[in-house]
Amino acid sequence: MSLNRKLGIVDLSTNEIEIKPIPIELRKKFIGGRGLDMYLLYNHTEPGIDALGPDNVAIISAGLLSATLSSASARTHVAAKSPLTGAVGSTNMGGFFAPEMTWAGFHHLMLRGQAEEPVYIWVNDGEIEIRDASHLWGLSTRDTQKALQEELGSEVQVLCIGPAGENLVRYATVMSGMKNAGGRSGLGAVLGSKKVKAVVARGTMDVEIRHPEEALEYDYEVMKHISGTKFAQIMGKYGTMFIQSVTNSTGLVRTQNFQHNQLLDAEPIECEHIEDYTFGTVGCFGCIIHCRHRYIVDGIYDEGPEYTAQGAFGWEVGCNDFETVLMGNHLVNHWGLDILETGSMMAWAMELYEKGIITDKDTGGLKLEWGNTDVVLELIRQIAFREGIGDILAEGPKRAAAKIGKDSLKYNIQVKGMSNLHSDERPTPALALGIATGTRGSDHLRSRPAIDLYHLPVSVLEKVYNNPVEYKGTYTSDYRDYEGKPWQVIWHEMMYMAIDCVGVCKYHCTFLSPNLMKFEHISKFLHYNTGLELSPRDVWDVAERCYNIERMFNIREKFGRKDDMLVDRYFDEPTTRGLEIVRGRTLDRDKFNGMLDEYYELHGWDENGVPTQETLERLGLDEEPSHLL
Amino acid sequence: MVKKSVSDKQKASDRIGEVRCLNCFYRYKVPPGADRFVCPECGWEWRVSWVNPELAKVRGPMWDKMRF
Repeated sequence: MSLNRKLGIVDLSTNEIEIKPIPIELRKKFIGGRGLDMYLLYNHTEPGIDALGPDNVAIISAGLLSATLSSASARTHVAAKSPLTGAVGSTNMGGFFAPEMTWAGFHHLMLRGQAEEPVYIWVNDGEIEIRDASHLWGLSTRDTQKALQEELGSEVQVLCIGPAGENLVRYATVMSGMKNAGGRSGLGAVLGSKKVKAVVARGTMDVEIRHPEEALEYDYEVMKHISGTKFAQIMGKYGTMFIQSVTNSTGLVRTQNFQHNQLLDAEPIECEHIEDYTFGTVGCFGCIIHCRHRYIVDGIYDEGPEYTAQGAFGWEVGCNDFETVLMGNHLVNHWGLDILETGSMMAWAMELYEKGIITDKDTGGLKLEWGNTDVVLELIRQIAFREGIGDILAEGPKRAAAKIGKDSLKYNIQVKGMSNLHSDERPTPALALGIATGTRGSDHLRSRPAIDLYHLPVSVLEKVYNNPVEYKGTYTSDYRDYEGKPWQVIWHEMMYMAIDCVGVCKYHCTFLSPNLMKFEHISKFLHYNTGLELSPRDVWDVAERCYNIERMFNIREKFGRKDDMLVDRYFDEPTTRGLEIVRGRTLDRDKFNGMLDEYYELHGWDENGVPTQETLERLGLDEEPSHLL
Repeated sequence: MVKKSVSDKQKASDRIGEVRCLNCFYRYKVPPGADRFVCPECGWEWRVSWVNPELAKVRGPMWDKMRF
């Protein structure tokens, strides 16, 4: 059964391999996936280490529901200290790798030390080997996977890095399949620093389901419900690109870096155009939504694109051309770059060029002008291979700004050194607070209360957000308000942490629709599939514990209130475009700080955002690091 | 008892083709197959696409009117 899957520890400096069972008391406290990864990260690293040095660890995991009768239990999580931010590094991808690693007998794999020559890790039916990968070094993510499947059989699942990871681009991805990208936090560079080109899994060790008939029945009921929602039907046709219909139409995207909040005349990059390039949609393991298209552009075959591709290679860089979006999406997947960070860094460079802060001399003659497709595609290549201006941009917001100087950092839209999604939160305080406080940096996937945009009635908000913990404050339906929003952010932090612990896709939980999975669903899935008895409130408590250990990691690395803050442009520059309800808006600095105070108080943190002793005791974290594993 | 799905509920409540105006959040039932509508509440005009014959979505604004 799921609870007997193990932790494999690989020391790349000494070639020692250790396999350990995961104690049930840790399962009850952290469940698995992202939560247990964070326990391991906090326990196996020292403060102040070099994220690209041998003392960092890279942890690859499956959630506790991986490969069970739970819909969309496909997610792989990767954790390490981030070389981009110096804060907690955390990234998550779909596909088929996590179930295969589970069938191979493992839920967590921790890599430490550094190999002298390129290696890959072979995980197969309870065994782990370190193998030579010198023949793979330099290959793209797709060619690496193809080579390993030819070597080990077509049924293996591969998680790998591309040239960007090898070149230590600080926002390099780990990739599996054509488009499953662990994009954020730069953890591909951590694998590159360890000379780990890939981890390959193949397993035939069945996962015993604790209550199989009930699990099947319950999964069917949940899947039927999910597939009937408007959200799932639209996702199944257009993928996440459908979001652009709402956000760009309203004026909630950031365009030309942060100068505008809407791409005008954006019809050419609307999601409906995918129908001219697609030949069908595909899904991850156990998923009924199938949110990704398989498409061909210029004879090149790829999957996606997602909303972030439209942002990165569309409205951010001023390109109103769908084929640029498709080709940009392909290149970042191929070379292993975070699509979001890549697009943001390019847009930032373009604004610097427009303002004369960088010139042709800095760019090697490349005209970084808005809407220049050729420049966009060339910049992606230069970043991946660290050539020309790309070598500077590959360093991420803060380091690149330090190299360029001249006030360049103030134009970069980042939090904790990580670029924000291609969205504009000036009209939406709840979403702004979420990105400001995200543990891994500016982040839409760790707390975003996206349903706040739907103007839901207060009665619906109460039904969603008063479970399983009651909130005694008031809610407002208007996404421009400040009231009640800190609690919404916290509720989503817990929701997303819980779903990441079990390894289920966020699009199956209350993220973009209020009608999807919540804490009680996770509680039931765990009961039927694993026999782990956790009430909805227990699941919340686990999530809160895991979120706090992420926070503790950051506090240990000297992050605090000053880092839970947006750049000045959010407060000083009004939005220029969009519907009247969002036009001319800035965030109110005093009200934002008021939200931050309330957010800390609700969390049980002090005024600097540090968990109080009472909070640590309540969550059973007061003796961490406990070194139980 | 098996719960009704959201789409079952929509069919039962005759909400097929209903979209919300992004400007004022008014719920409007788009005539089958229509490719645009004017919000009766606030007057904004939207382009519409159909995910399937029963499910309409706002595709985008009339861009020539999105000027400031």
